[in-house]
Amino acid sequence: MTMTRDTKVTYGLLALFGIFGPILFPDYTLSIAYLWMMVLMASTWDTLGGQMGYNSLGNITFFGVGMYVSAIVQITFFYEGGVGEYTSAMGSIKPEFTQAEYFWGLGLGILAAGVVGLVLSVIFSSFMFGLRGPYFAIGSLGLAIAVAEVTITIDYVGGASGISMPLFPGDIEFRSTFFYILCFVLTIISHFLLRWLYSTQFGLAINAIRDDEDKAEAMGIPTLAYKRIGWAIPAFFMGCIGAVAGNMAGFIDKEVAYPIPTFGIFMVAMALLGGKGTLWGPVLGAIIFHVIKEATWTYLLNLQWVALGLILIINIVYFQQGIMGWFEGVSKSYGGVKANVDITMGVERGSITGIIGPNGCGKTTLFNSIVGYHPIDSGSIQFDGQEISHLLVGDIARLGMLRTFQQTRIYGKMNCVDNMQISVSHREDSKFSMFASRRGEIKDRAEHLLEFVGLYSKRNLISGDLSFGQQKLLEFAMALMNEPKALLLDEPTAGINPTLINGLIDRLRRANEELGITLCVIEHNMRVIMNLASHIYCLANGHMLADGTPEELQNDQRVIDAYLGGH
Amino acid sequence: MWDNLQLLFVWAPIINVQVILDGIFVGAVFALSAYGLALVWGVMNIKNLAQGDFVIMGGYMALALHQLHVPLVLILLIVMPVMFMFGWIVYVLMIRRIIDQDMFVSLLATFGLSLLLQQVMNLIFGPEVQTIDMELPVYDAFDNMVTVPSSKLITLILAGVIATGVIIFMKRSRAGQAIRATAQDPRAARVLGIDIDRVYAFTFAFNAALCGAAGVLVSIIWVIQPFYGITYSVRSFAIVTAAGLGNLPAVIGAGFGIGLFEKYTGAILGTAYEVAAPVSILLLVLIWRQIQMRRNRQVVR
Repeated sequence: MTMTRDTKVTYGLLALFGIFGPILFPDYTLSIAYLWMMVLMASTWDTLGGQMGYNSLGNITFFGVGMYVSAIVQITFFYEGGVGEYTSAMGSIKPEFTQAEYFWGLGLGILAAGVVGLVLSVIFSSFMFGLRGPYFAIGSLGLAIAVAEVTITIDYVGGASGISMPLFPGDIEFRSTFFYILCFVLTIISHFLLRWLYSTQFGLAINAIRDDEDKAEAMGIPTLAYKRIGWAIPAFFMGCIGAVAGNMAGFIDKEVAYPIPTFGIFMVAMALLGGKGTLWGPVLGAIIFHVIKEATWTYLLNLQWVALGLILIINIVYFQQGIMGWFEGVSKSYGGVKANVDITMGVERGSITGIIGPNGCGKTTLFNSIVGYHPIDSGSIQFDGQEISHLLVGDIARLGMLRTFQQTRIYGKMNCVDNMQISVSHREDSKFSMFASRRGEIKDRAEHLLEFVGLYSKRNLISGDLSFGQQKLLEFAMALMNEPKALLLDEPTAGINPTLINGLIDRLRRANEELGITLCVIEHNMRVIMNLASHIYCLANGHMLADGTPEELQNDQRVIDAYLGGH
Repeated sequence: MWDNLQLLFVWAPIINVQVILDGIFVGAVFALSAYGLALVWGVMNIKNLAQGDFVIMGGYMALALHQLHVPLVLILLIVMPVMFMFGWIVYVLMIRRIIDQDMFVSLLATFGLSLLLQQVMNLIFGPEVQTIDMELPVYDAFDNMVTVPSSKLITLILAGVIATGVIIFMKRSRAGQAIRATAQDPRAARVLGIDIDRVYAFTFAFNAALCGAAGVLVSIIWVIQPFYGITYSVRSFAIVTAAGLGNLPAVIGAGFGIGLFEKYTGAILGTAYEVAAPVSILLLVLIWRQIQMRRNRQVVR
């Protein structure tokens, strides 16, 4: 574990604050103790949520269970009547524990709480890790609520009326200093453990699980084992800190032990605020969040909950990249590759134009820029005499310029006719046409066009069940349905069987001649493009290499070297 | 528990009729809000954890209107558009910004919204449990063993009317079509000129209106309280998880199923398990789905 100078300075400052904070501001000792607790919660949450990508809303469960376990251990060991008698007395018994009894009990309690938390997490792992994404988050939230509800039905631990923790054997100052040190030390231990873990193979593996678990599994990473450990560590620390928090509170019930809407959600918000998936993000986020929270608590009494809800929303909606994300975002955005440079091309109305070039030369990028997926850095794109380089995809589509995709994009769960009907032109839409009913003539035209591409017999099949080639034909028909003025086709013949290709060429030509649609075609199949297009542009490495009629290009030495020759 | 079981199945099996009827009454309401969730989830991939709070919000609006002596049907006609507008505003201020984000962001942001709504309702209406008393006749059957308040019958009919309206709307109208198209492939829909942003806003607002309607019905047949929302959210998630997205008949079926399960849990275990019942059914559904998926070598995602 090597550290940079910045890191050392940060640790130094935090240590100074940790040691001298409570000495300089003794009134805030417990508040700073809670701050360290928040740092621990946010950091350990991030192991599972940020580093491993399993966003848990239920880590608070271990916190509450830890509290109760610690209470049971402390009372069972050093109170003769046992927990049952203690709780049934409803707080009227206040056993005097000696210092030795109390501290031994607390030490054992914290350890037991951690271990039970860990065991519980392993049990949860057995039925929670078949869930991914939102299901895991919702499931873990359900788990937290369920455990809380079950706890209050158990009379042994006081049921709904709660349970008093043993009295602290010492004065108030000693008490707050003692708990402060406990929180601080636990937080330091958890921080350095996590720091070490993230530097090991384990850190890499859980990152891999976050980014692509299927791939990780396919590479033979024992994902379930990693996930179990990735949850057990937060669970252990949450249990320990729960035991401490229970003793700090002095009395525990459902609200204290399972604060789902407060700590349960705060720790997630903190990790997000600081930047999830980083070591320092949760620490930073916890510090900032805690300060804001304490301020609202002090200055916005009665409205503090409303204020917190608002802060939470603003935090998540507007700052979800986190503060660490700001630092990273700046350096990343300058790493782009220039895909198209100084390309000048024109497509004549009513013509068929071809674009050829080696793989990766920027043909698809060019299409994306034209129809509005990518912003262009400089230059001009005009359609029908109108500047469109600043318009969005939908606006350009409504002007009458459409594109099809290399990989087909159709509505896979609808049948072909429905796919066609939803593809009608939106050029003359009014505010209320969203609610217009479907017209009979549209269906007729849909069927006519399906016949045109040769899919009439398949018109009632679910489009996702069609073969890839048929889906391409369907996508072509959908584009025609839209009555575009110009149509950009990205490799229309890729994946279509050779005998069908002739038919497709014929149909493209007829669409051009009979329907008057201007076509611009990216194509790798030389026979197709040379037959189809009247004018061809050849791109290479993002530059325009050459253009001209098919015959001219076939004899152009540069084109032959870059593309046609191929060796 | 044993006593309750004996009562149900040995001494007075006729009480089952009561439990089943009650299950159907609440199940219809669950199905409404669950369908809204399925819609928003399926179309814009937003998992709305404030779903239940929209329901409770509708309930409180109904309560306020009822105190002004507005008739029931008119209450529905006021609450639904108001909730629709509210949903649209929430979309513009919040949802629009998180729509392309990581799924967890939407969960968390809507959870924040849920907390906010709870607190605001708590400030305005207070933490008491409230209900609307329509003062309508109550019918008895089987020697007074089964009571059927006519208000519950009316809400069941209203729920049916709303659900039918939604089905027709989604099947027949251009908006419904655009919503379904966007759900399947937003990029393709955009390329073909559908205004995705409007579809999303409409979908979210539509969902809020559905929740509001459910809330009106809840306030009549049951009770509302500012913090009861989360149980409706949990129920909606359980129903959608069990039924899948975009399958209305399955959603309705699952809604009735959960209604029945809860009423039977209440009848057998007692009311202490009121909150635990929907949560445990969510967990059961999730576990059952995992087992089902594992058989197909898949995971629940």
